[in-house]
Amino acid sequence: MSHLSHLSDDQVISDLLPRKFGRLGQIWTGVLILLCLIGAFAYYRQLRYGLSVTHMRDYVSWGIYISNFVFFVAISLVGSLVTAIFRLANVRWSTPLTRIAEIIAVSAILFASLIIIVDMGRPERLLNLFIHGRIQSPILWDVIVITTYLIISLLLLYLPAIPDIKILIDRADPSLKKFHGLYRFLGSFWKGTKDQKRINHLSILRLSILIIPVAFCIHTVTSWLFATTFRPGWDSTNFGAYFISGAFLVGAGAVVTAMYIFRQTYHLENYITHLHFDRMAKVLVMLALLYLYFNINEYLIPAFKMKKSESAHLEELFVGQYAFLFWGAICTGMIIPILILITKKGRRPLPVFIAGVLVVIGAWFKRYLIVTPTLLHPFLPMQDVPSSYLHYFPSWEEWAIAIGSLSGALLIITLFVRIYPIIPIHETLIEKNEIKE
Amino acid sequence: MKSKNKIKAGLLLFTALLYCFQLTAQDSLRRKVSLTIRYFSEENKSMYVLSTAKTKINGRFKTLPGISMTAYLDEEIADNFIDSAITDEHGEVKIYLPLRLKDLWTSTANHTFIINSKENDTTRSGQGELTITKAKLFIDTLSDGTSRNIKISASAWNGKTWEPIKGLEIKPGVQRHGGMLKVTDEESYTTDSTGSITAEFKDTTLPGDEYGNIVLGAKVEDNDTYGNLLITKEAPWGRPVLKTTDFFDQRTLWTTRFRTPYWLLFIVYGMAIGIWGSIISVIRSLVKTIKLGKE
Repeated sequence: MSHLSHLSDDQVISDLLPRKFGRLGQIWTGVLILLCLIGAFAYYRQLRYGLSVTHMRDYVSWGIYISNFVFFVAISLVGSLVTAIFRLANVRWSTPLTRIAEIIAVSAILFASLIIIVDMGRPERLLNLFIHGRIQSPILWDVIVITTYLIISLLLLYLPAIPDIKILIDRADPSLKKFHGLYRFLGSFWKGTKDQKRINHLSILRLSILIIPVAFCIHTVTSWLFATTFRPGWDSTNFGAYFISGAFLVGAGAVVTAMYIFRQTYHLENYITHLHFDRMAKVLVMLALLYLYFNINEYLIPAFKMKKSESAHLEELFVGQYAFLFWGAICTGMIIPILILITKKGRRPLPVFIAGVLVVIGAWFKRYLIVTPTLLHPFLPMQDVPSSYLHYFPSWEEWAIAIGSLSGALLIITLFVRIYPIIPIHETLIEKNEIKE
Repeated sequence: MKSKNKIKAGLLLFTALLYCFQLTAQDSLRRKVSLTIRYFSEENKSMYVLSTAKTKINGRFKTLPGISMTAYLDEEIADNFIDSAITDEHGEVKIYLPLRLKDLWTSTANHTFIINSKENDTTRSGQGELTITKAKLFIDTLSDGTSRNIKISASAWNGKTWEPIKGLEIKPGVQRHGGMLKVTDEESYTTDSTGSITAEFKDTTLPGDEYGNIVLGAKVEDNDTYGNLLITKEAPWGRPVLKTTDFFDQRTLWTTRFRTPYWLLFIVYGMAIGIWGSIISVIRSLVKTIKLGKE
């Protein structure tokens, strides 16, 4: 924060306060709302006509919805990475990134929960999961752990933001006037006394410790939804670690993408600096290498053995109809970002942003490849079934709902940024003044 | 006037002919029903007939479900009415001899089962008969310490006494879920002049119930005179098999939610209590912070 020492507190506050959207922001919000509405209409059609509007059938019963679910769960891990791990490791440079990471985590985990309900087809039966749920089932573990993770993430978003909300109340910025009721409700009690600071600090610390095992649980349990079933590609003891490493990577990719967008849109060059991009890029390289290592483990060993029952699935991935997607996901999700970020020039904001986008896109298709090809290659041969059972390509309703859910997650982040400072003001001021002293 | 009457008579005759023709045409379109009847006597006390309704379609016999059948004993009169039933999806009906016909049943040695099937839209009415001679099987066990034998006797009622049946083919065995298990040298034996057979029971490893009881049995199958007869007897000749705890009563990962393993309950609830306890503690701290701000 030494680069901020020349700025006054007022200047920092003024720089970091939420601002009214410009024309681009309004268009962006409008497009997201439109996509959400199209998704809602598709979901209405699914509710009315049943899951038959999707192209999921007896074999591919987990389609794009579950791919999306795994993607959301994966991306939500970033909250624990940046907020908790960096905080506990006393990584001071990560301060401007904590709120970006937390809001991504909250919006992603929220839509992970919603997309599971969409996949159920009959949402009113959700209650049965709690009434008749078996604690032996990993599905119930997933429900418990997702709910827990959502609550902890919300608290981790809220508690560090309380002093900032007080600043928002005190700074009577006209563009924020309509939100004052909300600010007062959430932060008027904050006086910044010694006791309040101590309690709040302790609570954040406890949550930071708590969220790490819960985050590991959520990703491990999600991987167990696959690994506990006996299918080609899923029958692995390595799936928990494989999913966690992939989740860290996509989460970090999402953070660097968001960092760049916020930096450019709100002119936060003083706060999200080249140093942040450089360090996050190094983290990204490390995570990409780790995920690549797990991918080699997951695919090379089965390919080396090439068991007859699994060969059809592997050949489809390596050289068959999914080969383009498979190698594309490996390259865009891991290899190309590593090649970009490994050089010093590649760790400048724009290349890091490009690498982040590639990681996120590659990660989405990687989740699709984990789910669908396996379901199309069961151990028992598919005989005497309609031709629609033998292939899967999502229907327009599935695409609309999936895109709608992604847009919904982005909309939450967008609206959050409109109301709350995306970079913690209070913590930035403290760190700036500490260095000054 | 005369010509008018002639026309009327002609029309009447024409209508009558048309009606008869229609009836004949309808009747010729309906299929002929063929009834097969089999008689069964189980444990010498439960008697029934199994009747199957069939019809020929494209040169092949096919069973007829939903055909209404009525059974009589010896004569088609109300007093001898046994029962009526409708054929199942396999075209079969099972009609038990009721207790009210006991006197009629015991009065003579031979009886005839008469079964009528009712006509319907697709089939004509049909009739079938089966005459049997009443017979009984008796089963006994003989054990002398070194060998175990099954003795089965067959007798027929001659109107006055039970007479041994000579030359009757009997299949002894052990009753299992899937049918009769062969446990003797031969699959079937023929009765001697005393109406009996004796077969050695050789298998000593056959699993029985928890006390080693197995069910010995003997049957006569589709005999032209006596029909199907079955007799059973329990004997402690099997290997005792102790009942294990029911598969689904165990606390395992695959049973119902009420049979969750204790270790899993401990882990899940332990984690849930630990984590949610901490979350609640953080929320309490938040409430405390709010209160501090209002002081």
